[in-house]
Amino acid sequence: MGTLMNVEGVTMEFGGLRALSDVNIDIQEGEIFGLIGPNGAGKTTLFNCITGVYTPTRGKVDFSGGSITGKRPDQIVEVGICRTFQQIRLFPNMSAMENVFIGVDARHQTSIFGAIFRSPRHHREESEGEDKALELLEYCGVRKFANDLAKNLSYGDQRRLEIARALGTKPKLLLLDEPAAGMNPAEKNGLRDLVRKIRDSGVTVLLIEHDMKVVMGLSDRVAVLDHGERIAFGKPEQVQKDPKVVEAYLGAGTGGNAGQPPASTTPTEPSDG
Amino acid sequence: MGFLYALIALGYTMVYGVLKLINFAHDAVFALGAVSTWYIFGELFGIDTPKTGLVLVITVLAVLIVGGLFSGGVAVALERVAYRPLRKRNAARLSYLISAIGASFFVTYLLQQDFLPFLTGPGPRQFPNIVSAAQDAFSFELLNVRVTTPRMLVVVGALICFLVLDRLINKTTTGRSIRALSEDPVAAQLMGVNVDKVIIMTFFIGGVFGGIAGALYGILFGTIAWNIGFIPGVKAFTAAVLGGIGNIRGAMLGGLLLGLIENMSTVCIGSEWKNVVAFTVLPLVLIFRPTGIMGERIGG
Amino acid sequence: MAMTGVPTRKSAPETLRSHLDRNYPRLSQKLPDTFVTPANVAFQGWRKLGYFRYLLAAILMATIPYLMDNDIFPILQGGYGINILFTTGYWILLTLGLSVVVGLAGLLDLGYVAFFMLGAYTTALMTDSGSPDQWHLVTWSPWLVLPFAVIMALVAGFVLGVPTLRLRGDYLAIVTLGFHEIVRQSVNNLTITNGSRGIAQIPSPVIDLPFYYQEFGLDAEYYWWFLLIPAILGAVLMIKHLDNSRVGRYWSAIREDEVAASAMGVPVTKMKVLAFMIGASVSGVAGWIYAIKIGYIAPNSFPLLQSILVLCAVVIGGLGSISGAVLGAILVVTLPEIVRELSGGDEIFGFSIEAGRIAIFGALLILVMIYRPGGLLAAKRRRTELQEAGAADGVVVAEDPGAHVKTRDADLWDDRKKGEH
Repeated sequence: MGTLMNVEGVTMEFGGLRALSDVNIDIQEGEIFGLIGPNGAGKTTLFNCITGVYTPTRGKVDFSGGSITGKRPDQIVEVGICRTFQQIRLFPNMSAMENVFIGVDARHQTSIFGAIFRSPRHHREESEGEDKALELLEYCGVRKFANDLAKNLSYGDQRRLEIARALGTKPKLLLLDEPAAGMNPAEKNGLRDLVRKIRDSGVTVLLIEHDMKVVMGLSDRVAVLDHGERIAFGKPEQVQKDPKVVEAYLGAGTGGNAGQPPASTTPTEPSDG
Repeated sequence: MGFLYALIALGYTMVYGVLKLINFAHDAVFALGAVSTWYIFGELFGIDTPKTGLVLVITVLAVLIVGGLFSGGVAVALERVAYRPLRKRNAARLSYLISAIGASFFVTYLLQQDFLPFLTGPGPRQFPNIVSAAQDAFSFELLNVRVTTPRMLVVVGALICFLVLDRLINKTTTGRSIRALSEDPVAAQLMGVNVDKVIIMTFFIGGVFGGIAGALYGILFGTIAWNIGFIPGVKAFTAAVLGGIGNIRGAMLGGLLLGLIENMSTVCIGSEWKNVVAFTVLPLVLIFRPTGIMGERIGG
Repeated sequence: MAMTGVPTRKSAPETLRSHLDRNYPRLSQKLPDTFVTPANVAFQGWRKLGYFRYLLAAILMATIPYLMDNDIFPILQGGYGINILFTTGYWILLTLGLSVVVGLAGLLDLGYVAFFMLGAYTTALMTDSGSPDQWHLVTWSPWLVLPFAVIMALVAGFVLGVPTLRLRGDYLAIVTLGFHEIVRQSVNNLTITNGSRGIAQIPSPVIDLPFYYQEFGLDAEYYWWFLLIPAILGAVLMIKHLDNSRVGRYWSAIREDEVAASAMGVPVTKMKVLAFMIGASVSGVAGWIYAIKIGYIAPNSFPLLQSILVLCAVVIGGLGSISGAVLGAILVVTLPEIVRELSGGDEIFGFSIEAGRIAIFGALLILVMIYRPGGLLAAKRRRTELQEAGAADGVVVAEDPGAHVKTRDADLWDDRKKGEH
């Protein structure tokens, strides 16, 4: 079990605003890694730096032995990293099946000529793709919505669908951005099981999450960001007790046993597309 | 010419600043300014001899005001008919653009008809000759360019308009509302800004300036036709982007710059390529400096 | 023949009823089973034919010119009818091509006719046309030139696409507009294209096979239409194939959410350029046909207006659907003629039809946008998209305030602004 991804010294500045400062994280193969921190800490920004939406002002990101700093998002998918979005970015007017198919398509090679002239590869990939998509929908528990438009699904199902779609790209590393946001406790349990299932199938998972129970329960290791800096790093039990972490969540003046940082006010509105 | 572009650009930039929408129909508004003043002063009143002195000033002012108001009115009507229904229906941006194109077409080609006296018909029309181009009292040479009265008029007119607008945007309540709406529509609404009214205002102001530009065009060139709106419209849009779309001062700057570039290219490459150059500026700007020279905030 | 990506290929064969339910639900409610069930036989039969349908369609289309030579509509006889047919034909090609760009990929192209022009001029400059001192690259037969017209269009599509396709919709529109004018003005100014005088006497094609010889021309008017048939059907076939393939799905994804698409491995810019190029190539073919039939081209034959009119046709007819594109083309070409016929002349109350045509379409455009945003015969998916794709606050069109040109960074930048991490 080696290091899958290495984030080194990543700093992200927007004009005068520094969103990330010298962040260092390593992700080991096969683990579930949690990224936590108060609102505005820079977690999604870090995701964006990893997945190529932003290019870090400084620092680099290595994956599977090669550098991925500054690559485009679609190139990132090619090397085996895929993500979901905090606000759920499905393709609303496409069916659930088609959404997942897009993910699966990432590993296909039918070219435009193949499409126009209906090459054997096209037929094969279409058929296999359909099977694979249905399989993934089943895996994530949303098979019955296969032909429904994505925008018509319930919030929790949409999140699962987004995960199914990301899995379609056969990632080695899956980045989940607040997958449990807006879910009720039953749904959260289901999500936890799903994430474990995903990890057990060989995919490394990096997740951002505000719900402490979810994160601490799932993660093998955790990193805490605050104001763009990594203030703690290690096993969940250790990090929870770290006074710096407590302070970040509760404010200065609360020493001692951390206990549970308060449940954060995660927005519960459904996807706004 | 650069000043004309700048004036028209103001219209584009204002609407874009507030609505994030390119008002494609603005070129028709501009043409309308020219047409309306042509009709009212030329046909209706039959004013056709050059004036001097105070009478000149008054006449010119009258022409500009009428043109401006007329165009402003049409712009508002356009908003009402072509854009508001879309807003109420939450239409996709594509729809606005297409509707704008439709509106532009409709008005422009309507002008080409001649079944009503105030429509120009297919041919060019003689604009009332209010300001004599050959008036010696005011013409002089500046940097090798012959500055005649009409040209002076355009420059002065545009400058005044610009100053007025600048004050308006930055110092009055209406101006503040406009700026607020352009920065954050939701917050503005929550603060009590009457969105519909402000939008009407924006269109009106933009339209007025377009109309003034149209009237000035007529004075400057002496003839107008139904299709004078189109090319200057596109160029003015380029100017607005060049200076920073949504930015008033930028529009001014952009207009001047574009006029300058155009004229320089006439000298260097030859006048047939003038339009090509003007049209190439836009993609170049968008590729290399998309926010324009002065950035995007409406207050400059 | 609406274009929706049919999800499961392996499910039971579709019936007319299920097809209607899926694509035209309100219509489906109004049609009783007594009507639908027998019609279903025709529907499924048609489906079963597979590729044979195209052969059938070709034969049907080929009979049109003969049908026109009747006494019900005497005006259609002779040259007039054929001309209308021909014009409709190449307009259909144009709308189909633009439909790929605008309808499938969602890119607003206001300068589409530039490719048409390039195709035509390539043809002119590579065949034995014009006055004796006309410059030519080569002087080949028109048939040989066809692939080159297509290549020219492809290259142009690429050249236009690569720098500009990162721009957001509105800007893209204006830039494509500019492109059309740049091409037109350049052609106008260069001497090798004979400037504003244009190039005349572009040769008509000749079929010179051992067993069959046919010249296209005044005595063989129908052949122009016969030439258009494979072009049109070919375009239709291509579009259908693209729509139901990886490429088509990618285009849909880009239309829906570019950022998400990119994050799922879609090479966005490449796909957009591809769409542009495909559309351009169809336009190029249309240009080839135009050049060899009309025989004379000049910069003034391709006004900017025409580009916009093609867009009108696509939008009014229906975005993203083949039948929509066809309808749009037919409307644009025939409506003015019909009105002219009905009014018995060129004017209604002094309203000149010829010029007023554009004004009418302008008004139509606005109306369509307001009441049926997807166009008259839009594919179902597009209809739902356009109806609901507005800002949540309903105040202004603030889709991405402040976001500007490069959608990639800008979009997520806004997510940042909304106060997340």
